[in-house]
Amino acid sequence: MSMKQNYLILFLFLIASFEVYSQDVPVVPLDEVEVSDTQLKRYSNTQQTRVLTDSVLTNNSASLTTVLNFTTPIYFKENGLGMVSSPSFRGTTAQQTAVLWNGININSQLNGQTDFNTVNSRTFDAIEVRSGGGSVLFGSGAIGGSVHLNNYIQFDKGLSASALLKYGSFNTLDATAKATLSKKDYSLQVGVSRLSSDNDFDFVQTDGSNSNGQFYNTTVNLNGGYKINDKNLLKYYSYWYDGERHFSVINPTDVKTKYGDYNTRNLLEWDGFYGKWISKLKLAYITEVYKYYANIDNDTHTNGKAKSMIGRYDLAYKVSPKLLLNSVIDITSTTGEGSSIPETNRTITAFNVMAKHQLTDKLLYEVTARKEFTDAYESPFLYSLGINYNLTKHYAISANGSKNFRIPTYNDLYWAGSGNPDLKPETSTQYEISNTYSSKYITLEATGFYSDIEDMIQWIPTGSLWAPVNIQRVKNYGVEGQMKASLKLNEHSRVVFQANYAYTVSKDRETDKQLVYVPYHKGGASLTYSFNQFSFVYQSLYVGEVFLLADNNPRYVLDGYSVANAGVDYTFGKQKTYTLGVKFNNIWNKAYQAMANRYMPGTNFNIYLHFKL
Amino acid sequence: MRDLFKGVALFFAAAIVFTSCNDNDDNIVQTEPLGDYEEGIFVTSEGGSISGSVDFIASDFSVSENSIYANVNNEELGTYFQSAYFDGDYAYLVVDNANTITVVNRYTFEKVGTITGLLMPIYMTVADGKGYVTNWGDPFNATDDFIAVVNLENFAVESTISVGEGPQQLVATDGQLFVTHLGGYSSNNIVSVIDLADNTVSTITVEDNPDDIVVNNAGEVVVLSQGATLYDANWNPIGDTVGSISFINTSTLAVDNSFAFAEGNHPSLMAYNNGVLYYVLNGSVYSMTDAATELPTSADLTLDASVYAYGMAVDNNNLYILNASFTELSDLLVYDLGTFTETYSFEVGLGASHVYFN
Repeated sequence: MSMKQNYLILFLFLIASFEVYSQDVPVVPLDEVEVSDTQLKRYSNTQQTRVLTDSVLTNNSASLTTVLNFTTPIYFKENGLGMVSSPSFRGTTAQQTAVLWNGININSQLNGQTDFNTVNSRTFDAIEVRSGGGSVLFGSGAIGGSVHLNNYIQFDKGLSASALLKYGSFNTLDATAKATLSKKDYSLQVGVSRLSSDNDFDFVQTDGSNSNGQFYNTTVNLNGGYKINDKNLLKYYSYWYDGERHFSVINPTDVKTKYGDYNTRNLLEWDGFYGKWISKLKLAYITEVYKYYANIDNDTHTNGKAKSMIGRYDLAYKVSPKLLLNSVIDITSTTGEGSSIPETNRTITAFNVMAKHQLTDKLLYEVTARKEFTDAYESPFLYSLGINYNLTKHYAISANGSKNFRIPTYNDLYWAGSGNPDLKPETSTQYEISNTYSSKYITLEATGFYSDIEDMIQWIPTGSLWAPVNIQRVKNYGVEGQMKASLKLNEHSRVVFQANYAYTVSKDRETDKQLVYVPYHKGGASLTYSFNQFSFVYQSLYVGEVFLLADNNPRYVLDGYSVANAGVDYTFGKQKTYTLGVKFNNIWNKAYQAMANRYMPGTNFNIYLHFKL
Repeated sequence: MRDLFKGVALFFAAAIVFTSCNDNDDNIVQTEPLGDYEEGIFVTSEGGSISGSVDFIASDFSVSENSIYANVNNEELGTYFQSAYFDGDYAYLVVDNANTITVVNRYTFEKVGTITGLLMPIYMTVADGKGYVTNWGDPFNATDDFIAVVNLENFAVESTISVGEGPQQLVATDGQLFVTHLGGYSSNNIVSVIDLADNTVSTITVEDNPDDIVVNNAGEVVVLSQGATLYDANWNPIGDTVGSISFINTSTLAVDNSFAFAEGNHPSLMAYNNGVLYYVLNGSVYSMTDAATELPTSADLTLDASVYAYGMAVDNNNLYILNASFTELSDLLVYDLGTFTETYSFEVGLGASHVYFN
């Protein structure tokens, strides 16, 4: 809720002269100008969201996996440090977690998920995590929740630049440079990030070391805005990612493999603010390419690629300051092909309607609905209804119910010899209730959730091949809690404590067994103490045990673990600031595995310099 | 540590059962037992999300123990555990992704050594004191497949023999090695014949996807070809090639006889004992004698629809079917060979694929 308050504070007039002839002059909130993830900003009043901003992102590893693992309830199946990382949000699969880049759903068309170790967190101005269903707003995969990678286009801020350089154990280099120039009517932002590591750590308590785990990736982004006039604004975002990972092996004699990812994203947006109308036209072109080398000694590899052209028209009408009506038409045309996928085009057209109504000072509700049309699969009617009620100044309660989906992927539908063209989307019906208490010093949130997921797509052996079928039905329920307390001790020092915890039950409805790799318990906490220009941080993570086999056989359980990091930094300088810091990860040198037989590193460290102009 | 404890506990449990059996048999001359696993059945499992494993079941089905390799050696075999071969005092455990054959004492399962220098090893056999191992090489490369020749004194690969795509199972008979080519990630239709005198290779064409191979009592090499599904350029299925059981004459290297399955029928597993050949087709087990002149028309046993038959073996009294799961533990189903009724079942490893007898 603290985030919402921040945004309420940010609600300012953009242009004072806007719509002078109107009686109740609609306000163009800054969000509408600066952020392209419009639906996130407009319709997140009845579900929990949390924002990871600059300081959190700087302090943590560049890997999106590590950042979110410590700061959110999302659980990660990380196949060794830096390797394939699949999120599980409220007990769901990686395909049931949507990832959006500036409002565009970027989950792979081929396998339906985002590998969180192929996203460098430093490229973004803010990363926002929204719990619960949101398929109407964010499309396929927004079942467990969604992760939003956003760049902000700001005006009239002048010139700023920053550079972050980290170097640490295992020859890990993490470097980012950014520069922004913004004037009254234009804005330009450029950023370059590089992450590389030998990733050859020695195992803790076990002989051997991580072999063939080296990786690198480079990200370049370029974003800009131009105010044509008071009413019209152009924005452009571009993103380029090139990465290669060797996949670490379990046995030193295993065949060594590697994987290359190459992604590009471009988004052009034209916003119009015409009195009570807000019009946003978006055109996006996103590409993904992977190459898999089954043996690094050979040039032979398999590959897959997909290109998507997305057109979206978003028209909102402010009936009054308290009532917003909104419709969106979205057309996505994708062409995918690969070693095992014949070139196939699919076009999906979606119609959405949404409304947000502040009925009284205390009561707000949101209604959304979506219907897609495509010849690739039968698409269900999706909807959501959410209510937020402020019982007191400090305490609010909200409830949300929705129907969401994740569509069959290219692999599911078209994989040579195995693809099943008759697949239906997975659908989820879900409900949640949140309580939020917020005061000057503390924010507490607790959410109970329930969801029933039908037609889960599983690849099962049929004859000599494996093929996907809509077979599983799963129910997920649990509780998520988070808190943040901030206390200024005196003129020199401040302490901030944050914690999150999730209890998650995710059961196959037929067998009543907990799904594999879904921990019942996961929690994280961090304590930051700042004293003058010094800042100390301690963060810890607990992940409970998980079952490795579907029958929950107690012989095959991966033990839970807790791991902690600690760091200190010192900031100096006035107009130009320099921050020098050191951070130790896994300071208690725990031997742990996030996935079976995948050892994680013991104590390791990095030193960093963050320069801001 | 917990596994170690469990292993020790099972060791003692098994020891008590064995010794108490022996104590009651006063007429039998006591001989020094060769190891805990001297008399019984081994089931090997490929693994996947967990390591491949070996389970042991006593011959009289009185006792069983899971994951014996890990229990004895306190380490895992790795994935995917393709097959085992038993020769002399040793068992050879072939693990493809680890590119290793782990050599253990077949009676104690204590590790003796490791064969490396392999690339995607699948099956092994022993002939004239040497090991022969089929290797896919890089599975995306159709031309780097080979048979590794292993010195069984020092477990070193001493030479390799280049063969066609996807060599699978192999038998040695009559001074020759017969190797089916299932085709790896692709498809193939040959049996390679290697003259063990000079390692020269010739090939015999059979129906598509030859996999299981045995030598029958008549000395013929019997090959089960599964047949293939045909696809158009867009990977739509457009038809099938037939499966067959082929009988190869080891002198002329000709296919003397062949029984073709109906189009669209793809037999999958074959086992042979005492002049009777068994195979699995569409969830049923069929059998035929050496004297059969055509394929049987009625099944001996129709498996439950929930059974995914991934391995089969037969001895004098029982038929063994592995009902494999790749998400949880598999089951070994034991059927009486006279009545084809299920008599025992045992929980075995993940992706169980083979049954062997000690």
